[in-house]
Amino acid sequence: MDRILKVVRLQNLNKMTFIGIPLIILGGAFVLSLLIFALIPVTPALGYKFAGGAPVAPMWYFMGAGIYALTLTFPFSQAMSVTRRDFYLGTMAIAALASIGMSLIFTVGGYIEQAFNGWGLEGRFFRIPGLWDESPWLQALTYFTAMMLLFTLGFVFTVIYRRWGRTIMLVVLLGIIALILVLGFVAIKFGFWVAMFEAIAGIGLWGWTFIGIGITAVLAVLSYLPLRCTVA
Amino acid sequence: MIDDGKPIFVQIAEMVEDSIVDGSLPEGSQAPSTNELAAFHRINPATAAKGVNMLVDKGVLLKRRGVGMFVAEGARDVLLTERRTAFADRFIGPLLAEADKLGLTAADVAALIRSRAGEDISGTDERTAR
Amino acid sequence: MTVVIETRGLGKTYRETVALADVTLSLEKDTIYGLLGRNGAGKSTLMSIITAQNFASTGDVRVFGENPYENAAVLGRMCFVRESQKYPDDFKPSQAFAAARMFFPNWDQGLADDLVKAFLLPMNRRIKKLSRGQLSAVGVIIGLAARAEITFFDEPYLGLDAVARQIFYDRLLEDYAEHPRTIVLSSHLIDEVANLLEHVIVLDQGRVLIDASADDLRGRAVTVVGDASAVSGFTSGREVLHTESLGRVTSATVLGTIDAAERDRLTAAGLDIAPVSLQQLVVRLTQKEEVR
Repeated sequence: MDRILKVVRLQNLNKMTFIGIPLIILGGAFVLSLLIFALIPVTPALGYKFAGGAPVAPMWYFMGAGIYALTLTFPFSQAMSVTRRDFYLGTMAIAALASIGMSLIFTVGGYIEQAFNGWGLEGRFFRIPGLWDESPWLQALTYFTAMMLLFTLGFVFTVIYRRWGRTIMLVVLLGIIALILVLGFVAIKFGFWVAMFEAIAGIGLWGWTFIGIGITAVLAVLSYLPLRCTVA
Repeated sequence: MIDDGKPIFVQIAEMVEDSIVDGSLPEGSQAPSTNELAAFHRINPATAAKGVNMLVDKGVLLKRRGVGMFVAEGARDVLLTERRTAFADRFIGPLLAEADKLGLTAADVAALIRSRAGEDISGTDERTAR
Repeated sequence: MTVVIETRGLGKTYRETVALADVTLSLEKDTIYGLLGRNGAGKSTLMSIITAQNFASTGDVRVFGENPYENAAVLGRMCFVRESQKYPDDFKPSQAFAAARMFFPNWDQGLADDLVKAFLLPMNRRIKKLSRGQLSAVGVIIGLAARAEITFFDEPYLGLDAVARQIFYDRLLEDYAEHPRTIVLSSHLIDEVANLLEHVIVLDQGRVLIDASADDLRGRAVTVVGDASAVSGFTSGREVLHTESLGRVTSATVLGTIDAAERDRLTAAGLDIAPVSLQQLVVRLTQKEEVR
């Protein structure tokens, strides 16, 4: 346990990686959103202003963090005589902590936003439409899951790259994309496109969040086994 | 300093012996420690230790527990005797071989020695007086 | 003496390339080892396998009697900073040392600070912006100050100028004298490190060519110079490593020792006898092996 905590501290020695940059991105997205709120009118049907993908900006950075954890921090951890197991658990732990932190910021921010009537501009940044309305808990869980999922995606693809090389990684990536496209094509061709969409919607936000947790967990496990045989 | 010839530990031992013989390391005084020798000559401490141990086995150095290595009483005399015996092999042999190459006889060499010794007569007197 | 690292029939193959083959070694406690060999001889591969950073194709490794793979107890007692070690982006040397302090139980911050001054290392410049020599210095400082029971230095001289290298050797010896441990030093600059080594391992094309004490090796060969016919009289029946001729003068390096009597005989015959340095011996033996 002690060693895993040390890896967490190692990952945080450069505070920018898991704290600084996500906060800067969040801050930037927030400021931009405020500017947009100041300029645009309220969307009549919705009764509020929303600046699109702004709140999810930190998530995409997290995918990069997952890649970087393996390309640079992993080799250094090997020089520090850390086992792959401890590195893996410590890195996942700090990713989880950062994700929880971000979700908390959104939850607290959401309540403040609510109290101040959307920053006096009827804008919604911390209260993501659909998620917040269903439940602030759902939003927190979904945000956490999305961040972890993206981090794990970055991590797993990089592990595949380090372990088996660029060719295999591309094959896997393109294979997944191809699979999705084929599924979509088949759905359209055989006319169950609409039915599929309804089924997807039917699972609901809570359902999809739990599926997201499931996918993240599977990817996380899948990334550990090749890591055990990866050369720094 | 240290060269590629004899084993390093032998060279170290000989250097310590040299300083005992020329008087810079008097009998009863403390000899440099293994670590000091290693650092000074930039060699592995184990090698320095081997050289020192060789001198201890020979009776030239004494180990005083907790204090260090000291030059044994009578060490200088022991070394002088040893070196005088080896003098012929170390110096006279090669001297005569080189003289031979140059076409000098033993008598020629003896004459050269006497004239050189004559030039250094004041220095020689000082040495015998010690 | 206690054996701390043992490899048995270690082999590593990458597709068609054989990086290591049949490497069987026993490394003892509190000894400075030289791991020598040409580029690509397998030195880095061997060190990475021992520290479980890489994996053997055949054979096995035991460190402190155990398999080092994913073995935190054993790994924590070793330190291996590679020749081109990667550091987390934006890390400064101060952060790299802070990390080392966390993971190496014997870390000596005082020694690290001292070495930083000696190597003139800028503590607050990003590692990716350091010169080659400064980068090497970071690795060397981690290796020295970690005081791990088994420490590997992977060609630590790269980028270090002659002054910095001398600082490294001096500090290494000084610290080793105070805190003996097992040190494995891989280097091309054999002459520079020859006097530091107690034991020498030479790898050639993935195999162990030499595994002997430095003292043993120093006496293993001799060079005889002089008239060609006199020299050839001497070399007959002996294993010749190398010969060179200039006119009637021949220089021959042979394996084997010559006793005092033989020495006198050779000198009388007008031949010069010269010792063979560790570097010369290693170079000649390697060249001979590769010709085979």
